[in-house]
Amino acid sequence: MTKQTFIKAVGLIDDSYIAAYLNAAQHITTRAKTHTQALRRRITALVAACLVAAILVPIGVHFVPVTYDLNYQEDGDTFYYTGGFHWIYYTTDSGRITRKNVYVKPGTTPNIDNIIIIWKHLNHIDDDVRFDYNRYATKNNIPCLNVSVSENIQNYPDFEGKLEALRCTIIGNFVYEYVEFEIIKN
Amino acid sequence: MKKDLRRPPASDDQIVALYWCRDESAIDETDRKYGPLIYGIAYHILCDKGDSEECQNDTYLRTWNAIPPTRPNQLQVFLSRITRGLAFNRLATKRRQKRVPRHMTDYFEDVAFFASDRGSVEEEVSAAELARHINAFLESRTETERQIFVGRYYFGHSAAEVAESLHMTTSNVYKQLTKLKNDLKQYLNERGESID
Repeated sequence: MTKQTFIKAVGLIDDSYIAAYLNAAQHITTRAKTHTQALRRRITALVAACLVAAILVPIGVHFVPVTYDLNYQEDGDTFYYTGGFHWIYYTTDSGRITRKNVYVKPGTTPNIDNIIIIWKHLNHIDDDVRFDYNRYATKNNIPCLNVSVSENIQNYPDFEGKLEALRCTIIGNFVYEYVEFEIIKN
Repeated sequence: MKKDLRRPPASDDQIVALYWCRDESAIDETDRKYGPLIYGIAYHILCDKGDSEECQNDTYLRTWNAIPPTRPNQLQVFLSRITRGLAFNRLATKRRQKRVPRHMTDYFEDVAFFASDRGSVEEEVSAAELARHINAFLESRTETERQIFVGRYYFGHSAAEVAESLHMTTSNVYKQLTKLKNDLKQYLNERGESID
């Protein structure tokens, strides 16, 4: 007996046996075409998803919060705390001021020093640039901040833009309504 | 072929009547009701879209030529037989060209348990005789064992696919298949259908 003979013989078995399996396995026997169509739909959907991601990711990445683990010792009073997320402003290569949503982990109390650490990171400022600040209030009890910056900040391109970004960051995260900068000798 | 999806498909009796009246809409109705089944059977064996579509069209032509004089009681089974036969014939050509889908290579290895590739002209007569023995063997088995046999050897489904159809586990299907194979081989040996 050859394989072909066996295969032919199986093709001649009783109708009722074949009918019983067909009724049970209809979804399998008809799956080929629908599978092909389903596969085509999946591939199309995947390609479409990749295209959408390629367009949206460069836009959306600005809205993805960056997590900072500052573990910084609190120094002085706790200033206004908005919660875990903070907008930190920075300058782009084209000189535009934009912002990034930053998440400061729980257990780390945000204060101006912490925020400046993050601001430095986003504005590519090295640690040799030092900051000192003094808070005061006007006659009408409007909280203000005077920030002293070491003169080596001027070595950085667009340092005025970066300080403006820092002003926006401090006003956005703390109670101060006015922020003034003073360049001092190293 | 355009399909009118608004009306339900014709019954088997209506379709067979169209063939007897030599009304060409019989083929449209066959395609509408059984097109996916026919294509599915062919595609599973051939694993090629073009070959499967040709097999499907050949099925319609064969059916047109067969009815009349035939008046099948179960049109679904009738069509599946034609499609299966055409698909395996086409697969035989691919085997000579060594272009067999992988899962069908497993199928042929399984069939080799009962038979070899050597044979003579007299083998054509024994296919009907062998079918008689297989039918008698299957009649003595349970409904589940018959369905497992049909799924594996008639349609060429894998054990996993048979398991899915019959809501069984794959390991259970493998176990029952192994027993079926051994029992059938012994049954055929006892009745003189020797293995080459």
